[in-house]
Amino acid sequence: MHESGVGVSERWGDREHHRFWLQVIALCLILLPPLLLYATVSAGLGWVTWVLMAMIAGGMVLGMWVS
Amino acid sequence: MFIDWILAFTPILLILILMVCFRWGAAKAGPAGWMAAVVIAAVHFGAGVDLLALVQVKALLLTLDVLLIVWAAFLLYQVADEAGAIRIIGQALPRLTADRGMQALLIGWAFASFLQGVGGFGVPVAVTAPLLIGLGFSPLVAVLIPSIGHAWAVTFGSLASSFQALMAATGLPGEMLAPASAALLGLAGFGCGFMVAHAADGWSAVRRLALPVLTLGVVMGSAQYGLATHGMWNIGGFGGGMAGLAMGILITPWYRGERLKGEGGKLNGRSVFIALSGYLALIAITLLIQLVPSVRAFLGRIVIKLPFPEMSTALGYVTPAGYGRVIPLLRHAGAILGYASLTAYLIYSRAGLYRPGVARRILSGTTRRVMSSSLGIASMVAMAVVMSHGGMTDILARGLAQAVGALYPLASPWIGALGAFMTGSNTNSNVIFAMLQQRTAELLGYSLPLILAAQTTGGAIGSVIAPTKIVVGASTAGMAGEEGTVLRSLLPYIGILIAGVGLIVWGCMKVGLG
Repeated sequence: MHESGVGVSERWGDREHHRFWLQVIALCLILLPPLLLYATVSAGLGWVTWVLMAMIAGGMVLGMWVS
Repeated sequence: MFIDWILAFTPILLILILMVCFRWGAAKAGPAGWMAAVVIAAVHFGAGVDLLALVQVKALLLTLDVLLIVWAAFLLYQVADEAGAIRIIGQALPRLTADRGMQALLIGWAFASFLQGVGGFGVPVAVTAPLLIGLGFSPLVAVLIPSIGHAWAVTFGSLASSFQALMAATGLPGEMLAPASAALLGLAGFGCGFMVAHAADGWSAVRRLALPVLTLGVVMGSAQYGLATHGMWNIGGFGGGMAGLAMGILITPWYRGERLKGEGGKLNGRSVFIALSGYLALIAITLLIQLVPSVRAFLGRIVIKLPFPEMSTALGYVTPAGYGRVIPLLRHAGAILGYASLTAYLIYSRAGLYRPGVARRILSGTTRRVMSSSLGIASMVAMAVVMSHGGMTDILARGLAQAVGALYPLASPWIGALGAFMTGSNTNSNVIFAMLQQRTAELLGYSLPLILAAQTTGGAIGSVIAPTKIVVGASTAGMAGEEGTVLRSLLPYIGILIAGVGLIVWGCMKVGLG
């Protein structure tokens, strides 16, 4: 019973740990692509702009899902 | 036109429904609002991919401007909390007086405001409600007192992250916004004080403690006003709370109550001083940077600054060319908080207040606590910037201006309060609604600083009844599951405060102030 309780606690801790890192990834996906977007729009690289915008949207979806 | 207005309002309405009806957090509802804003801006309002892409870059600058403060403010709080500084200050205060009303003012108003100044994020209620229960207040009253008490300090609290958001969202300088905001919040502070006395001990306490309420209100409001209007808004709420604590300690001998007469109630001055020293370091560093030109100039050398071209939608809404948010990296309020955190850490370490492994606990505690709010802020800032550059904020403002007209000053703080209620934060409310309020005020010809002061004051007061804060308050007072009771008890106080703010703003407009 005791071992089972510890196991549950550890698994819960793991879930929180994973959730935290997924939130970090989501935040990076939202905040990092704009660093390149400024250059791609200025250079007229349309398809790269679309890819970067898709990355931001992916970050938003991941953030929503993980929160 | 009506369809345009409804579509422009849809992202905000979506966030409202998701957060209030479905109890989603800001980190979950914010991305949904962003997606709705992007789709509607692109499909209905003619925002092209280049515009939407540049908007994300602008949003990144605004997000960094706010997040740097949020992260650093929480770091400083963790540094102090791990040293036991918050606990030491909290335990010292009840020993000063046995008068219930005065205890409520000292702990639930002055100390809660101080805590809002240094930490925020629900900390004032979480720390002071258990203290008040320990002094014999009922759990409900113990939640009500600090909830009402810290409301006036929210905008310039949390090291002014909400005020920073107001500046970032509107693009207006702090020097222009601070006087009206600090004055209106200071006036709201008197209301908070009287309501704290009323919640603690009824109308008799209001009459008996009128003088200390007025004294503390003048001291706290003046300190906040003085700091905010002299470029030190990041320590405005903190300085106000600290001044209130100092004045409260000075005047308690006249309000000691019965139990402590002859007992002394001595404080361990040294431990309280060490506990406060981390925050004194913040004051010293802020003053040094603000008042010594050479230090200020040196730290202002590294600046993040990006020029943006003119942007226009297919429907012809134009955003003029100009710089995005300018961030002086080493002189930013977040950097100042970082220097203060490091200094406080060294002071507490030298005083032997830390247990082994503290640096790791501080860093992991900070990163874990700020991650959700960072996601919420990043997505909501991006949503608000998409709405403003897509012309959606402008359409909302025009609709509001036509519908409310001359009564807009009365409605303005309620809009701020609505934003804070639905997003759980004055900062988010300012991000979402400040541009809308700014545009509406411009269309109606009202004073921008006064209307934006009403926005942030309404947001500060409204944040108190946000479901997220209610849940934190109720859980720390052992009232989990009784959040509805807390909300119902808070509503009359908060409603009166917001209505009062609206009347003050309306009166100021009538007599030509602002």
